[in-house]
Amino acid sequence: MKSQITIIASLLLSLLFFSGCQSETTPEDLREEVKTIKEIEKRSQNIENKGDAFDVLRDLNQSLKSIRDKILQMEIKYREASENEKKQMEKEFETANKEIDQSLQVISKNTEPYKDKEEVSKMLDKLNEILISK
Amino acid sequence: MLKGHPKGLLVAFFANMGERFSYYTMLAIFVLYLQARFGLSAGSAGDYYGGFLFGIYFLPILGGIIADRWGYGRTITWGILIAFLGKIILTVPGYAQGYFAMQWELVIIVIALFVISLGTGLFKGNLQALVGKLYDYPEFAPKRDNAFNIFYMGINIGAFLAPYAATGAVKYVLGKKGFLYENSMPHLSNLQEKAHPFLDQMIGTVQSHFSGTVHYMDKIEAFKAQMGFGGSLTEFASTYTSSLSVGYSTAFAIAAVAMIISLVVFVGFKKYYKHADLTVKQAKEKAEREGREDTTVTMSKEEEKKRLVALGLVFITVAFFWMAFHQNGFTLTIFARDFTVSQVSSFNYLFFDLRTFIPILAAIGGLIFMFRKSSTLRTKIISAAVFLGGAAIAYSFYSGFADTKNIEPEIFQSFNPIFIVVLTPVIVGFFNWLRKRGKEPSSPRKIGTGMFITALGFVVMMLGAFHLQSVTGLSPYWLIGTYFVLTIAELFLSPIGISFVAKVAPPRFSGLAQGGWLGATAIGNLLAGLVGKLWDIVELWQFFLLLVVLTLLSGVFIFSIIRILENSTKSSDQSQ
Repeated sequence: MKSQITIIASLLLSLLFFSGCQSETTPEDLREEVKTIKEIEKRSQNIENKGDAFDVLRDLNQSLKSIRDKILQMEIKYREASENEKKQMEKEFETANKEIDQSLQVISKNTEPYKDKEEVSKMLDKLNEILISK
Repeated sequence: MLKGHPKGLLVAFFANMGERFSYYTMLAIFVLYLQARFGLSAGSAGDYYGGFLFGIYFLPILGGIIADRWGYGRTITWGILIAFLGKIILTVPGYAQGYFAMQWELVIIVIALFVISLGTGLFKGNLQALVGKLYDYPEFAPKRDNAFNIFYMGINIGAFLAPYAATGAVKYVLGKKGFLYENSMPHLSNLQEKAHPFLDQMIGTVQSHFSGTVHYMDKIEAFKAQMGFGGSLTEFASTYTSSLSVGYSTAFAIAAVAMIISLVVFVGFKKYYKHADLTVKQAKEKAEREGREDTTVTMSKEEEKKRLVALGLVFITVAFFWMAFHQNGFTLTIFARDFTVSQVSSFNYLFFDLRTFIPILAAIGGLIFMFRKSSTLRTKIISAAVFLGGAAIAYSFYSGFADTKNIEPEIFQSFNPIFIVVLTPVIVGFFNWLRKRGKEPSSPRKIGTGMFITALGFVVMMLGAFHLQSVTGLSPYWLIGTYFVLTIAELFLSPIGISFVAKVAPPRFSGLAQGGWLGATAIGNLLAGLVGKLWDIVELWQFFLLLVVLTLLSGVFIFSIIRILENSTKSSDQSQ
């Protein structure tokens, strides 16, 4: 019986351990997302074939999805913020948006030669919907 | 399939089918309704949904305690009435728009959810306990596992039909106002109403680099033009969401009516289960009144304890099954949305459209009965007609399909109830075949095997995740295959588990034990959400590997305590 209880306990503990990976609080700004987009930008400079372009755009899609979710969270906070806090948030957003803008420009340029390839164009189609999808 | 079973099983089957149809009709649109009516984010709507589901699966423990004292039939009847009342309350905000302030409407929703959970808590586990009691007689006892497989099919027929009834009701109400059903509209209207400045700006940024990106305001404008609405964009958005709320309330009303049907069946055919509807105390009193010996099994405290420990061990393990299985409405649906192709050929679409899929299944069924050796000439003629009719209907719709068709990620969830209905007779037949040869495995062995089959289902997903590294999107058959394997696992585990609980539970705790089984499901659902949080953190294949490992370990655990479990079923067989 002891060994059975050990198995159950380790199952539950492993679950708690894995879920603990998520427990740190996420910051309510776009710093992490900007960092990710910058990394994707860096990768986009080494695109050698349509497969690389596809991978870059797939990861970009995922990042834009996180950005969308983070922005919606930020806006809930923005509505309840004081005037000073609002200005601070606007400033932070402007900075993040500018950096994302620059990275998107580079990514778009680097993936341009592959846009007519089927896989890549499908990813671009997905990007069309990404910011407003549920 | 029903030969040799008591008639009470059919009463429970249809009463349960009505209640489950009602429950899933409500559930199919509940989150969408919260978003449409209250503009809640997916996260907030998910909190209401999660709390409600927890109540649904946890309150049966309370329901069981009540029924073990008060009587099963009586508790079940009250459960149906209370759940009916809850669903009526749920229609109020949609039908009485403008009578209450928004926050009061939300209070009404919370009250409705509590009342529905309470009603379901009184109903669900106790009906299972009652079915178990029908098989406490020696002539029926060997068929208990099969009975629960059949009973389980009723749940899934109700669940399968429900989403179609829900969307049908919404489409009907919107159609009367000249609108089409577009389920992304509440979300878009919400964005528009709240005019998200940051999001607007970010969309503008993306648009400037990737041409063709659609702004949500343009999307609303396009829907407005498509539906021929004359007013402003704001008027369109608010009229549409208001009509949509009425549509959703109509679906809730349909759910309430289904409860009445369930009540009529359960109360109207009481004579078929009345003999089994007795608590230990009631059975004793009845025997005394009739001046005969009480044949109800009485157990020593030690025996009761032994059985409760066996049940507890199974509950803990089964929670891991539900944790893995209930990824279907969560990460597997996200997988369908993000990593499965969104367009399929007209041939593949045959399996995604009910108008073609059901006739195909009917045609296959017809074909099997046509060539079965034991079929009579009359059966063969009817089967041939079913085959030809099914094939003709499927072909007539197929010929009207475009070359490629879009598939919605939610549609994958309907494969599970379809597979349940199709596979139940096969699994029941398989176990019957084994029993005739004296090789039918015990209920605990079936449960353990179900765990291993679950692991196999997620191995399919893991292979899919590896394959995804070289393709744009996966073929839908990967997910369909996984659902197929998981359904087989479910049929080995869930109905058999309920049967095991009915068999092993000490008679004076029959209701409580079934409530415990559902409580384990509630914990499994919570674990499903917990594990689901890893989705964005680890690689896809790692996520599925974790599920494989957890379910394999659970299977190994069941087999490691198989003697304890089998002994508890053996002692229950001896006592019947």
